[in-house]
Amino acid sequence: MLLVAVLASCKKEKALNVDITKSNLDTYAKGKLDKWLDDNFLNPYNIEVLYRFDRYQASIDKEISPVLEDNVQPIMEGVSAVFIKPYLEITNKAFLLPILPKEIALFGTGEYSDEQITLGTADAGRQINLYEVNDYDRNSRLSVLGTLDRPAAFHTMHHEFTHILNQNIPVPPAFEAISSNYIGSAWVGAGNPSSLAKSLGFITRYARNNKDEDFAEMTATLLVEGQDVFDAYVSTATDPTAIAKLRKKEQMVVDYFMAAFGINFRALQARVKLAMETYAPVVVTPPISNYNAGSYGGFFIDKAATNQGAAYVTAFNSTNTLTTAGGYPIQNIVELSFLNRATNRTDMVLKVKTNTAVEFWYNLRGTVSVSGNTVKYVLGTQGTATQYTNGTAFQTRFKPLLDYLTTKTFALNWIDNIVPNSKDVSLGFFDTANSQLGFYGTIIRN
Amino acid sequence: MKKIFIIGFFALLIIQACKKDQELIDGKRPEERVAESLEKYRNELTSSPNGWVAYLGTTLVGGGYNFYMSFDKNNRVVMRADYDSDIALETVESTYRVKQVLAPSLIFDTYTLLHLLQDPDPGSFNGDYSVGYGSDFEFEIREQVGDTLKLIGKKRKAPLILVKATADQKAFYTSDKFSENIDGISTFLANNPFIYILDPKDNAKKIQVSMSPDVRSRSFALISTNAGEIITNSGVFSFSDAGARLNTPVKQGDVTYTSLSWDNVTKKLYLVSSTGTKVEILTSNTPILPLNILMGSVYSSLTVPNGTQYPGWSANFVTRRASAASAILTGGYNLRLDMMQFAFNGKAKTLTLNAYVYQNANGFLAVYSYTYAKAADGTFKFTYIGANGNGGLMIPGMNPLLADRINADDFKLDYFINPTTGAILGQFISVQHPDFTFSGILQ
Repeated sequence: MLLVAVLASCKKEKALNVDITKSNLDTYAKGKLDKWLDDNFLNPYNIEVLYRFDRYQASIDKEISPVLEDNVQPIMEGVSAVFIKPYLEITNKAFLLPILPKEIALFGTGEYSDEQITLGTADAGRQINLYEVNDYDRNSRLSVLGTLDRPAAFHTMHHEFTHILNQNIPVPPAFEAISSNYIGSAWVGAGNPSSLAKSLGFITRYARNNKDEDFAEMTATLLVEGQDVFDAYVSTATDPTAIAKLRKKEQMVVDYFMAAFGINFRALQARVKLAMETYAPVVVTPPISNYNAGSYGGFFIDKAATNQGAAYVTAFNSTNTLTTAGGYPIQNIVELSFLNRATNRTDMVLKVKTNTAVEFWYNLRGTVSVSGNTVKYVLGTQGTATQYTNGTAFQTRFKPLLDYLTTKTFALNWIDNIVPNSKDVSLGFFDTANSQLGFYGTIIRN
Repeated sequence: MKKIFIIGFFALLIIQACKKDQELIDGKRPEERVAESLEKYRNELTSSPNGWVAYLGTTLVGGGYNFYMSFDKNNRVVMRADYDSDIALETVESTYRVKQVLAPSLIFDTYTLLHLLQDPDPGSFNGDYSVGYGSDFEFEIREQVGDTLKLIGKKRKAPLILVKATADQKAFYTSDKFSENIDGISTFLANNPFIYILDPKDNAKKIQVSMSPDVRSRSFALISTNAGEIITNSGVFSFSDAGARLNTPVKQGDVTYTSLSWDNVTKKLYLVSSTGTKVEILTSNTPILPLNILMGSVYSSLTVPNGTQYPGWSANFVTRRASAASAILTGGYNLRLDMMQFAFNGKAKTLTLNAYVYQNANGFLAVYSYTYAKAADGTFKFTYIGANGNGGLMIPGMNPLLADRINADDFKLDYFINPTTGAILGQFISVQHPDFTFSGILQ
């Protein structure tokens, strides 16, 4: 009591007279890079890029190095091209500007502690930290794309921004119900190898942390690593329930963007892909790599499709004449699919339908050369199903088509110069003997 | 008593609480004083016309490193570093700032040569995982003494000293001479593994100089002996325009050495004392300290190889080894004598002789145990203790070497240079029978 009384009696009324301009003790001369960052981030988006080291932007107890000045502009050009612009093109400034992170802090190395390296953090949606900038090289595919185990900066950006979106509209409760194997911080331990995460239906090890990280990992992977990488990952999971879970989560991500923000996720995905390939051409993936990795399930080849390859059409027509004579005219669209995509990208089946329930199936074995960009098919051993028996019975009538498919060596390429806007939708098989289009088919994704 | 204490406590509080309108130090508010000191150091850094010579110490790997830095008013700093002769050719520009963080601080806030010692990624500069070499890039400015600024690292307490450079120093560091000096000294050290100075006291006693220019193991020490004890006086060095600077001076006897001087023309290295006296560092073909002192500590064993002849083996030893080998071969067990390892333990003062023998293709170990005493002049006297089972069986055959010589005689140990290969071997010389000498590989 006494103390309070004394204190109160001493309280003097006096105006504060600190000159705030003299208290601003941290100033530096702005250089060319600072001006570039102002022009490209601060002024248009109100994002401050903190590249000059400030201890308080990182964990004070961890070890970290500042950023190499020369690497700032290349990586930030990427952030603008691969992260901000695609969102801006799909939405608008009124939507995006308020929720864009206000600060992006760059660091030269990861944040090192005894047992782990932190590669990205976001603070309440206001600040995103990007690490390992000193290793960044836009001419390195690994540097730009990262891997599922070691994500690159743009994955981090999209991952953290997904959290920001989730802070505005939460992850749908049903998402959490798909996988029940969240393990919190134990995700980093040896008890959670990537093979286990995959078999449980998680896109990365980190996704096992909790539903929010799972959702952000799904979104970032679909956007940055892209649909082909995602499809290859899913299709090579050996557990069918894992495949079902991943597909369900994928659908939920797509639905969330539409329901919550009216964003067409597939359109956003396409923008990001185009932006990545423009910004860093090194990430362009030749279709043979996707074919070999299991991104594709197979192809529907339509004999009547626009600009279909002439040699194929001829072979198809000859076969059709023979099968019609045998009582079974065949349908224009035939299917060439992988038999067991999870195990190999060698064994395929050619499925030909008729106007009745009768189908003719032929097994083909493909030899893939990724470096040579070629695939060569031979007839495989027939299976035991009725469709195979039918196929064997009609094999001489199918000879023109089967001969065509098994005597040529094909190079895989996009055909968007022949069929506009068909990239990633249809794939061309070019006869290496004359470099002409042999045939093309629509890619089966699932 | 308690009451008095409580009253006293309140009284103190009242005084404290009422002391309000205190006078300002220098008549200035804290933020004004801070702003003033920042301005002062900013000016100081940028106003040195020839830039700064910097010396840094790391705290985990206790090395010393030399830099040349030039700060400009646009918060940019140009730097060179002494890590090796290649890196010393590189000029790297980055940013810095002077900021108040508890105290006026100099922060190298974008990556440059300085950060290589701090980088937590071992892939960057071979530092330790997560800690690098234990260095800093944020420094508190502690004091200014004349042309010298003393700073201390915020995280690792790495000391950094900035000294205003002279025009000559600027010319040196910004030219290839910096690299040439580092290359000259490093080559001198690589070519001469055994270097020493003569004790200025008597100009006779050899004091070993141990100096490693590698970033990873950068170190300096003077090693001498006193009554059979090894005395190590170590310091930290970094390169400098004169040659090298001992960031922590090294005291040897009455003399304190503060730097090294390198003559890139004559390729001679000198140790320079605090009074400016130069002592030439001399080279030797053999280790500087006597083998009898290093045996059992620096070297743990001398291995006599399998053979009938070997450099450093006397005729008498050759004969005695041959007769021992023949005796155990025909002694009933058909044993072929192979190499013999003399393993010393300097702490326990024991010698273990491991004789490798073969019965056809099967190897066995015959072990003979000794204790030893070492006289003031370094002469060894071995006292036989016993043998293991294999050794016991071979004793009669081994007598020409053991009972007749090693168990009985006194021995001197010395270096022996293999005349063909130049390799440094160790040699046993019997005092009583100077015609009995043998050599082996030191490990």
